[in-house]
Amino acid sequence: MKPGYLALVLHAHLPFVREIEDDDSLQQHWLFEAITETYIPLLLVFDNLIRDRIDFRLTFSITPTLASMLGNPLLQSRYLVRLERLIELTDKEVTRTRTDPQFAPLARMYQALFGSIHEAFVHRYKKDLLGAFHRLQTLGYLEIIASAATHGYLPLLAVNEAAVRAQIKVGVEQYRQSFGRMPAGFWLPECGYFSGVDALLDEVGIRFTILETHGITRAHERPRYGVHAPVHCPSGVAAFGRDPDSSRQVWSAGDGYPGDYDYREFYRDIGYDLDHDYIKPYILPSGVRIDTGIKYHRITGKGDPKDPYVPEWAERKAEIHAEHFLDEQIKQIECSGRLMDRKPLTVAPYDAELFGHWWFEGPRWLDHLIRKTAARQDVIRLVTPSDYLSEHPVNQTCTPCDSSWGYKGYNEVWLNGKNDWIYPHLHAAGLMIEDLAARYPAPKGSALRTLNQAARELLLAQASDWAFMISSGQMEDYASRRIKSHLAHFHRLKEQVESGVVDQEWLESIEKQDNIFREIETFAAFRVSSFEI
Amino acid sequence: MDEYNLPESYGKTRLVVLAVDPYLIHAYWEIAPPELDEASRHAGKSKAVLRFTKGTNQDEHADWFDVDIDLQSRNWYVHLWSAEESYRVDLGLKRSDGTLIRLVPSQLVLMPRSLPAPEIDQRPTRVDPTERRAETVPVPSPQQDPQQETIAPLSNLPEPDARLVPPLPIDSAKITREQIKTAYASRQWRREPFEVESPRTGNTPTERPATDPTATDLTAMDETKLTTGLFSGPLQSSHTKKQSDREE
Repeated sequence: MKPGYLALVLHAHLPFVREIEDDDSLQQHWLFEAITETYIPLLLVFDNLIRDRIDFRLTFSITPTLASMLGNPLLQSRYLVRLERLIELTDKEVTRTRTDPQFAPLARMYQALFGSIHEAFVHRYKKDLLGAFHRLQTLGYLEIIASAATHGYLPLLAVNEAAVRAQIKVGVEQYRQSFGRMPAGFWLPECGYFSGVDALLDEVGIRFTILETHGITRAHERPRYGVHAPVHCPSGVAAFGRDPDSSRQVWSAGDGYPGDYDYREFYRDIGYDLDHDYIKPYILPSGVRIDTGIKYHRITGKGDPKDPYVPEWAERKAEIHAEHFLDEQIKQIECSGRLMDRKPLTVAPYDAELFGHWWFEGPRWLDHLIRKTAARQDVIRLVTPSDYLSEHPVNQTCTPCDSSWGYKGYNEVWLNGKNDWIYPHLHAAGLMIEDLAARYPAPKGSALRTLNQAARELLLAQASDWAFMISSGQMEDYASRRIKSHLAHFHRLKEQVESGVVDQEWLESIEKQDNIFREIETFAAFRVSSFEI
Repeated sequence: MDEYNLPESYGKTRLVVLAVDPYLIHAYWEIAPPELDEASRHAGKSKAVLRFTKGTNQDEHADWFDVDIDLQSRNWYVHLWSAEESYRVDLGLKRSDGTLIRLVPSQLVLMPRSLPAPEIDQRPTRVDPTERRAETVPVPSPQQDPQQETIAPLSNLPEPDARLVPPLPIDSAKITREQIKTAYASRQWRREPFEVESPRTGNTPTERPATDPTATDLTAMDETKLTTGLFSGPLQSSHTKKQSDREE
């Protein structure tokens, strides 16, 4: 049997949350939950593997919006306050449940867990999680790839080439500033590919990207090896296809691993279950209940009631599922390897927040999978797309099919009867900024400041998250208001620069509110040629 | 967050068409009032249409079709009966004699493919990681990859059954077409619901025919396994989902 490769890709992303918003806003909780449940647990998995001298290679994308929030000192200190309050809650829970033989051990489990997260955040990583990821890249365990500035869904911005170019350039520049080097790979938000975006990636030196399965299988010409080897786009940028089996094994609502009855139930949080007066200090100040992260039940089965969580059972399942995943990979290598002139490759990309946040045991599964893979290096090895391309610089040339990883595989999630109203506004602003870029070739002083902020506002309005939230009906009002406020700021800034009368005080307040990409010439990114990286 | 209102219009005549999926197109437009007035005067009795012209060249023999629209709606969805076409769309006023008074043309839109391409045409390129230029190279002959054995070969696993190894090369158009036919017939099948063995072993993996060892076409095989929409979306979807669950 010919050996093969497995490329695990974790995509970490959260939309940009303004620090000006409440200390305690729901939106900031998204970030804090993800840090406690996903980012630190994954860093600890990686650190423990290194401690145990387990060799591994993994690909990780950290979007510019997330990177900017992880590096923000104010958000870091707010996170610490939140985490300490959570630990206080676990202390109370240990007391509250002390006579309950089923729940007392679980309360102690969370007390220890959040204590270890606190220890890691404060002492091991010194609040600098971006630095921790950077270190793993420097040590050769992670390959961190870049992404678009604000996770703009590029196929629907493509009407304005300058808008797509700016999303890419600002994303790559932010990467360079965060990680001190140029990225080889680029995560297309939502795997959104359109024919020609590869040429724009090529302009900034990107070597590869990752597409949904049919982006490759429906490429023109027909790919010889399906998704088991990358193809070269006409620009020379390599496109790797998502493996459908490994997506389904993890994601499928019916038979995906995270739905196992022994795993922790996501929807039974004490933030919702306990008496309001008791839980009030730990939910939103307005009294709106939110997740605390303390969940005592397992999935148990379809519907209610739910039984108490048994950590040992869940741990065992994580190991069984890792074993199963690996066995399936090896079978696939055996099957596809026979038809190939090279070692077959599986590319398995996932949202990073699946691991730990949605699927509590996800980091444990990953830990088992990496250890088990390390023990089977005669048949399967972990690689990153860059590793693969170094070994196989020759690949079939195809034009991938326009595609995304959204429902039905194309643009529908981000363009439908609920959210289509946003595009005339985004595209009009895109044309306006192209026009401004032509009219203000070398702005200086307050004109430059105003134009840079206008560019930031447009980039923030372009985030794919807003269209998704409107489409799914979740946080719909918030998403609509974010788009409208960023575009309104854009128009007002444009008017001020054109009239030559800049309201400095207001500009400062907007800069403080939407304080992303402060070190990047965002306006210049909308010009075709003068933004050198 | 303050309330903001966006402009009702931008004062510029424009038509934009966007592919939703291979069979659905979205068009939105804005017509500056003076231009509409002038066109209406010129057209006389007429109705507003979107004229879809197929192909990348605007020659007079190109296929086209009209879709009646309500001009005031400012956007429209149009279902298409074939994927993978390219269109230019004109928004115009159609007179009763069929002539079109064009208000505004769209950009070219290329609709995505809905199936794999039938033919495999091998055009390998070598991309040097340091230089960005791609170079066309000869098609490699199968199983002569010198790097193939850089990982120690297995000794304790049986060699693949020679009878199962298909003859190479595999890229004949005929075989491919046959396989697509089979593959797409199979796409209609629904997977059997997963049998739960016992409450505590909900999703314990069982053997499932994930890979067919006799399949010879990797692209067709991957295509049959495709399930779209497997991603979580932004993190926040959890909260409101939960709230709505509780309300139910």
